[in-house]
This record gives sequence, C-alpha cells and structure tokens, in this order.
Amino acid sequence: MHFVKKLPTYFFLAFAILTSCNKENEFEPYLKGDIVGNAYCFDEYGNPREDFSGINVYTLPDRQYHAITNEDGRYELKNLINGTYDLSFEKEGFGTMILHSIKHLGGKPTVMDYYYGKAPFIYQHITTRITDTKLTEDVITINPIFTGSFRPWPLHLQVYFSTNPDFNPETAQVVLQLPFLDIEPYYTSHTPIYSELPFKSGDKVFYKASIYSTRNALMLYNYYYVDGADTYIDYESNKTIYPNLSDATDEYSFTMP
Amino acid sequence: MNTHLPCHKMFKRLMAILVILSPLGGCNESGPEPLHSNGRITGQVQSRDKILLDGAKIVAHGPYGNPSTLTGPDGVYELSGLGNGTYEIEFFKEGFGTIYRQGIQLWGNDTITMDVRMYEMAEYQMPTLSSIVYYSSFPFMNENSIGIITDIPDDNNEIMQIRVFVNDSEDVSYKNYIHSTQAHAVKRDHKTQVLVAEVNPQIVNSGGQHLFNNGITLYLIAYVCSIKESVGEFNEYYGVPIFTTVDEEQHSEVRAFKAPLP
Repeated sequence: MHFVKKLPTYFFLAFAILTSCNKENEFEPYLKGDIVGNAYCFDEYGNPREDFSGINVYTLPDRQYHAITNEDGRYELKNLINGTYDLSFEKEGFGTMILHSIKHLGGKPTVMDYYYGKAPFIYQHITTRITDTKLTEDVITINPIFTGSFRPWPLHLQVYFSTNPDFNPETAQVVLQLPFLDIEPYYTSHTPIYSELPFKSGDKVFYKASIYSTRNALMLYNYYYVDGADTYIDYESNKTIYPNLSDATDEYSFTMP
Repeated sequence: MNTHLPCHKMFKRLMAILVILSPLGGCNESGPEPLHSNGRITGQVQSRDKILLDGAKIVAHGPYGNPSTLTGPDGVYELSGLGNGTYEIEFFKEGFGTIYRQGIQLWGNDTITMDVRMYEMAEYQMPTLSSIVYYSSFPFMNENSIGIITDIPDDNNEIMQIRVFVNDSEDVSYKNYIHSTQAHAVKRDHKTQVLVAEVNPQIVNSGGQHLFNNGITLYLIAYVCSIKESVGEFNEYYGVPIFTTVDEEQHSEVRAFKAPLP
C-alpha cells in the first residue's frame, strides 16, 4: 500500500526526469540559428515604395520557415536548422524573387549582407501596355500607354527576334535588352539594331517586346548603396529569370537591309 | 546484490538513482557539440593612428560558448579550435570603441583573417541641449541646417565631440536612424554656443527625391562620439553604420523638429 500511496510522487519524478532535457535537436548536425536580412519593394518603374513591409519570406521548396518584412524591409527567419536554403520573396501584386544557396551554419544569426546581391528587389506587376512598335532607320521606337501619369525614364525592354513567324519569347533566336529613352512623342532605343543581329541581308525578321522592371542599386541611408538582386538563374532551365516581365507585344517584322 | 528486494523498494531505489544521475547524464548544459573544431580566426588590431594595440580582447560569440583571446605586442591575435557555425566577433579595448562583426561563418578547417582599426573614445561631457533654431534665425547657418542652443560657455575651446542621429520616428538612437552628422559649434553673442547640425543633407535616393521632405516631423538624439570617427562600421545586424565611439551613457533627450528643406 505504501508503494501505491507514493505512486503520484514517482510519476512526478519520472515526468521531471523525462522532461528535464529535450535538447537533442540542438546537437550537431542540427545546430540552429536565425537568418536576418532586408528586402525592398518598388513600383513597376523601380521607384522605392515608402513602406517595405508585408514582403513574405519563405524557405524553399517546403516553405517550412516564414517571416514578413517590417516597414524598413527587415525580416528575421527564426531558429532554422543549419543547411543550405533557397529563399523566396513574395508579395501580392509583385513579382517573386528567389535567392539561391544561402549557407546557414547555425549559432549566431546568418546575416544577409547588402553586398553580393543578397538584398532582393521586387517590383509591382507591369500595367503599362506597349503600342505602335516601329523599327525605323535602324532604331526601335514604341508608344507605351501608362496607367498613371508618371513617365518613367528610361523604360527597359527585352526585344525578341526570330526569322520564324509565330515564335514566342522562349524560342527567340536573339534577345536584346534595351533602355528606351523618353523622346516625345515616342520612347526610343538608341542601339542600332541591324548590327546587333546575326541575320542575313534580305531575311525577313519578326520581333516582339516585353517591359521588365529593373534597378541597379538603391541609394539608402547615409550615402550607403545597397547592391540589390532583381534577377536569378533557374537551375532547371539554366535561364535568367526576370521576375517582372510584361507579356510580349504582337509580332512585327522588317527585312534585313 | 539483493535479489529478494520487494518490487516497490526496487522501484524506489531505481528512482533515487535516476534522480541522482539526472543532472549528470540527462542534460548536457554546455550546449551543442561541434562536428568540426578546427576553425580559426586571426588578424591584427591597430588604432586609427596605426599604433599596434597590445592587450585588446577578442571574443568569438558563437554556438559553443564565448572563447576569447588577447592581442600580443604586435597587435596580432589568433582564436583557434573553433567549432563550425556562425559567430559574432567582438573587439574590445579599454578607451577604444568596441567593434562587432556579425555573420562570420566557419566550417571545417576555415581560417578567417580579420584586421580591425579601433577609434579612441572621446573624452567629453554631454552639454544640455535646449531649444532648436532654424536657419532663418541666424545668418551663419545654411538652409539645410538646424541649430541647437547649448549651455557650453563660449570660452570653451574644446572641439565638439557630438554626433547627431535623425530618424522619422521617436525611437531614434545610434542603432536606429536614417541620417547621422557631426555637430559643429558656432559662436553666438558671447554667452551660449549654437550646435549646428546639417540635418537635411544632400541625401537623395537615386530617384532624385530627398529623404526628408520639407515640414515633416523628425526626431534627433545627440551622443558624445569621437570627432575622428567620420564613418561608422557597417553593422549587418542593425542594417546601419554603427559609430563605435558613441557613448551610450552620454546622450541628449530625443527632440522633435521640422525638416528644414527649402
């Protein structure tokens, strides 16, 4: 009977011993730590938004860890097991950026420094439409229709070329990235096109164009430059991904002189 | 061994043994064990005047405790036998601003070389800051500046060792700011001195917009900080340059003012 009376005490002791330590997870190779960094969002023309909050940060592919940026763009992913991570930066109405192969050893926080393209820039989806695409005297002009009154300078376009009609951006033979300057009434590229193309004289060449958002660097606090990343490589297709690329225009054509 | 021990007694004894052993085997309070422990951090510590600093303390705050070492007469230090993981390194010497480096990753036999140059702390007493004045009040100020009236007597020839930090929120500090500037002293009417701070600097973002728009409410806090330290150490963790010689104890109250952009 004595034993039965003491039973609760024994259970308590056993419980205390069992729960006194569940630190197994922290032992190598499961060292944990935070990943902290900053992410920035821009309008479709690359102007920084006043508030960088609300960017969701996920680890890929399982989205196991999640954080949201504050108004300064800072995020803190908490207590991740060590390993190599891909991070995805997502916001409703914006293109998604991915940073690949982040080395995370655990212990003190892994800091995503501002150099080496570890500060992702994401842009609002493009609402501008491109009309009146023309190739005259070796340069391309376009007449974009903006949803707002703001006229960006410059406007970045990817122009796709092919000798096959009905091609798509994926199957284009040549892709050029061209800044277009606002020269009334049209936006104009200053790059002579013919010399950039490997086609033969007399070839009929078809082309399409897309707008993409980009910004080389954001000047931030105290004369300090942030080296942002706004493209990444998709390792499956080995292609550069432009997270914010508008749909391609209709197809136009010209004959190589 | 007594094999005739009643069941409940045996259980009791077992529990007693477990209770005694639990602090030993049940929990390893020293934390995780490294997979590799051949990591090394080495380098040299100098003052800004390139004097080699003897006896500076280097602490590697990491996953397995905080190993530390001192520099020799040649300013050289070495921390070895470090386990794999991410470290925060602290460089400390009495009379100098403490430097922190974050996100230092060590794996396997990695050796990281980290040389630092430390600034001497300012020996300066924080004056009382009273009212804030604008460029329209005094001809010697430019329109991008504000003035802060202080109680420093005019015959004081010491160089102002004061740095002002500005933010658009009230929780401004040397770790949380948008703009920072050295404050300069300007004489006035032989009684008081006006501390002048360029608070609307040529800071524009690359879209050509000023960071501070005219008329918005800003907040400033002033700290004693060595005048020699004109550029802070960029701190990855806080995301701003940290001025290492900022004296956390000696600072003004937070003061609100209007951005003086023309």
